[in-house]
Amino acid sequence: MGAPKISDRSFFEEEVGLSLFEAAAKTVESYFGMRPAKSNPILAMDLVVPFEAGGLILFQADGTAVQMILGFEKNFLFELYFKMLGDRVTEINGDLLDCAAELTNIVYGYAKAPLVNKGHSFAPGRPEGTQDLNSRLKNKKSLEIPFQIQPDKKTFSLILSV
Amino acid sequence: MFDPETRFLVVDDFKTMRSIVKRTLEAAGFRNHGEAEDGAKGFEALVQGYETQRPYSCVICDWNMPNLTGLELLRKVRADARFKTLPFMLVTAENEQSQVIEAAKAGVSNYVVKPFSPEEFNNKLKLVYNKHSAKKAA
Repeated sequence: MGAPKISDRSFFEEEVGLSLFEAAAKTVESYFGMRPAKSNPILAMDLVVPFEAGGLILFQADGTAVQMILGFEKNFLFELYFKMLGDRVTEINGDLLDCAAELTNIVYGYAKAPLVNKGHSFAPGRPEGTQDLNSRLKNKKSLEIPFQIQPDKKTFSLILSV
Repeated sequence: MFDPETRFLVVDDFKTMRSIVKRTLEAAGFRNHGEAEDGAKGFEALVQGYETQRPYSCVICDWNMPNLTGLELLRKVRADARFKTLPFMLVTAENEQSQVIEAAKAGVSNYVVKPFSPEEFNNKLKLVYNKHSAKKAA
């Protein structure tokens, strides 16, 4: 018997979405050494986010087309890059965007494995790094979960769009 | 553990992860490594290393890549008499039972799940070494 299909209910309330949010928190914690706190979610059409860079992956989850974005405040991404690679960057460049894409890949993979083991099906695309987050959110219904490392500062967000 | 002069081939389509793996290897004392950005280029690098008498002694390879995936590269390596006993470790963001079984059937030496700590990576690398040393001794 397979797991319930996400298309049967609201995608955002399903364990698929929850697993992705948990995976984002754990992945950042593993590199940053501190568990980020989740803020209140934002559900909107044509969501606008303040982030300068991020990673994006398109995938199918139980037949539903999903776009997942990890958007980062640039100074936080610089710090994350340093924690991962030991090098300092001070501007958004190809290496930083590659790092954002790889982080997105890790979050996707981390969340996916236990879900597949429960019977969910996934078909991934290839993650990419981008500075053009808001245009990728146009004409889509999106759920943003902001994460904070420091109080009162939105540091990064996981954004799921269907 | 592997000799410090061991030549490693790091295969991953993301530069970030290639850099993390190379730095982890260097921190463990392994400075002799090459890299490739997908499975097809990884196989070319293995052949070139073999033909120029600078063979790779261990492959550390991502799973999901364009052109030739990590699993496909593993199968190609195991099907080639020149490389069929080459230590081969997969680095993957995924840890699904079906994939683990597939990789084991294809002859993977071990695998490590991202994100990993240097300790986890080195422990897996030791297991790869032990496995292949035991096979050689047998």
